[in-house]
Amino acid sequence: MSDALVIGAGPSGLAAAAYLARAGVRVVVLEAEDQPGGSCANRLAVGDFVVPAGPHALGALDPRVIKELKLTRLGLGFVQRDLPLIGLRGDGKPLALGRDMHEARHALAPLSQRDAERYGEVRRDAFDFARVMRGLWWEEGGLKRDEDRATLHRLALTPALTLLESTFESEALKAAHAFDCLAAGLSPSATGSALALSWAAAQEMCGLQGALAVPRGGLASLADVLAKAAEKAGAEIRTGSRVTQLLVEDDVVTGAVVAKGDVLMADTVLSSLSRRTTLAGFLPPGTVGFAAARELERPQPVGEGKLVLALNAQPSTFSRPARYVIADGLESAAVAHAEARAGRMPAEPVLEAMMLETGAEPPFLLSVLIRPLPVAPVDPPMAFATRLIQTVLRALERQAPELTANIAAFGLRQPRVCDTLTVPHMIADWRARIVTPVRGLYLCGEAAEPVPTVSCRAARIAAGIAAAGLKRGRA
Amino acid sequence: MSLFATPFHARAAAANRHNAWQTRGGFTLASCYTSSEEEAIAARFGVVMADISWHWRIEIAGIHARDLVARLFTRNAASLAVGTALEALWLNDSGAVRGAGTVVRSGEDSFLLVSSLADVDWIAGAARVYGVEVRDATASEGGLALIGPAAGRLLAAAGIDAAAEPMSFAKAAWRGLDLTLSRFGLGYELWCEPDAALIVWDRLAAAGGGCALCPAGQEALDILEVESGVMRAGRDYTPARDGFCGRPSPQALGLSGLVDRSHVFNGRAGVLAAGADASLAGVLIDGETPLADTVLTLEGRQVGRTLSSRYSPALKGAVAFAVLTDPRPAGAMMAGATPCRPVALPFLAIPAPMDATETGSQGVQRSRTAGDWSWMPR
Repeated sequence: MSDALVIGAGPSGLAAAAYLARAGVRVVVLEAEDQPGGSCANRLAVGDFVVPAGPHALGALDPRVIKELKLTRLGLGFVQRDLPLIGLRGDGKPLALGRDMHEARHALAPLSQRDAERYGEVRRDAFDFARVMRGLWWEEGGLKRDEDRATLHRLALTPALTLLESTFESEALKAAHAFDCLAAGLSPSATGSALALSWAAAQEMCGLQGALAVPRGGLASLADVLAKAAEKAGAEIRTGSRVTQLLVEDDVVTGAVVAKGDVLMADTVLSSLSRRTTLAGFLPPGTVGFAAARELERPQPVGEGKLVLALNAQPSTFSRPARYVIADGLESAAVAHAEARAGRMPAEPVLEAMMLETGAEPPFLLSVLIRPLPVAPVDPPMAFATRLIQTVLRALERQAPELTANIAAFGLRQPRVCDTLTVPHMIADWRARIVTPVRGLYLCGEAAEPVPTVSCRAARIAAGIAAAGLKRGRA
Repeated sequence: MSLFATPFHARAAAANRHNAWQTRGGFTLASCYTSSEEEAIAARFGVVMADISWHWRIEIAGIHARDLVARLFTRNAASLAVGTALEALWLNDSGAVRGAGTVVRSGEDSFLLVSSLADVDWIAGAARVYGVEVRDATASEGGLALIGPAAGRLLAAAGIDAAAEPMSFAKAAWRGLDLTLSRFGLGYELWCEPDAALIVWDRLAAAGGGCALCPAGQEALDILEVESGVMRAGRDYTPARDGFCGRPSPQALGLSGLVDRSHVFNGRAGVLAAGADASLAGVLIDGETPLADTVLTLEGRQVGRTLSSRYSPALKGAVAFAVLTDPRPAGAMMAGATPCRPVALPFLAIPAPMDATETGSQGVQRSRTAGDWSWMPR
């Protein structure tokens, strides 16, 4: 019998296991696949390459995780840091928004003098509020000042579309934020979606690696170093162990059953899988609560897909290391969300593209995240995939006409069922997201983040809570 | 919203001299037939007959029905023997009271929930989690409550075997009609097919001459229930309608007696985490009936608040349910600006029904004069 089980060997699960093991807890990580890594593992085939099916860059890996688990010493490095955002819209000139305010103002001036003047101030305000939100999102304390609570209340009622429309004049500037507005299946016109922009600002300012970074060796290398950290601390990682059920007695978790039929008893379980999978899929009926079960019944209808193109040559449009957001405008993003919600392929999806070098032939990978997409499309899967690829290529070709001729291979990941993101979830304190109705069961993955992301922050906090709980139990 | 007539509506309409009606659970019901106070008093010496067809009843059936009722209710209804019942609450995920009712075990894998306030979505949602079927049986039967010390005598006179124990039910054949006789409330309840309802009414009316039988409207029923200390969701307190809100807790309503803390049920963590128990008590008001949520003070210090209130014709004064933080406050209490006095519930129990041969059991005794009945409180 181990003290703790961690379900899922993605970055969060591995980080949680490392922290638990460092706290002297006997911990076993159960991974369904044959290699650890979760969404960061190289599982999406693109010609001769395999790339992660999840994100293509890190948003905000918690710097404390890097430091405390000594990840740099274990081999974590970044090839690109603090990547700027470049907005591509219609046939207009690319709009580059980096950390350098002078450069950003210079880029904005031809579009709108007012935006150029206000941009720095708006960013400063966003960062100030994001700093305040740390108290709620990943540190104990909550919001202390009345004016911060009022701002939170206002943002929780404000659609991102309204916020950006009232803040900026330039359509190109507004469109450049469209991808962030569509985080986790949110609609830019949904109440509270303005919080997603605060979240994006918080990510940008809190990671040592800056707004967006690419680890050396790709995202899979992050999983590798976290696995090393976990094993070095004493955690055991069991691959090919798909959990099918959690054992619960009197609303207290007692262990897990894996697909092979093995029963593993433990005093505490941390799950890095989705809230829906953990609470609705693994627990006996009714355990999670009837209202919660009802919420979990309704999956997020809108998700994110990924198309990776292996290219023989680098299109000049994507020559600069950056994240490129290709969007027509906020209104069209809202319309796209409505189409996706209805199960249809949006005519104008919003894309985030990043160019990666392979060091082999073909030499470039263009990784494209696509939002919003229907999780359960009305079209048959093949027909939907075909339409999706055609739509994305059309949008990319408008920016880089030479792209299609250079495609050597491609890989597509369709959107998957994920947790529904709600405003109460985004404004809850971290404990409410980590602790479950079952004693001893905690969420430690993206489901425990205010907005799903690979930060390992929830893992660190959940491991702390679990270790303290075990200590109390022993005492 | 559609309004439905109960199966007894034709007879109720004929007897409703003041044409006083009200709506409950979507059904049109007589508020009173002559005077609600007279009807309530009649239940204390004879027997009254009240239409309770509007009570929400759902059947819960399926191989996992036991698991569902075990989780759903605050007491373990799954351990009931077939034919017996218990009173319980059902709570939301945070432990707030969503409803209260009587859970009846009608078969090995089937249960019946009877409540005065519907909570269709919640129960159906819970049933879906367990793959259990629920069927709304409210409109499939007509129900009459027979309340008063002469209820047993009335049943005997009508030729119905009234041997049912409290919190149990029994099926009976009655001169060609199929009936269910239960004792979940203040007296007996008779349930029948809607088509047989008028025949049942007529037969009881014909047999009730010697028992001072009279029909009672819903207002009289409310008075009798409040006097007897029976709290109803919706009438006496507002239940939670959100899945996660924390109020009202069973403690705050003084309903901890309906919660088995050792049993694992939905919302238990919230109940265990909630504050100390408050006591449900009665308050005799020396004045007009107070509004719900009136603050009760003792020497200027708040000691509780009122829930619902009624004028009690038997006690000749206003009475109110109250939740007290101090179970035995000593001294002169005030409900707002009105003097009041706390008392233990019930204010005044309804004399238990006696059958024709009974001679003094259950706290009820025959008076010296034959045919005349007096009562002692339970």
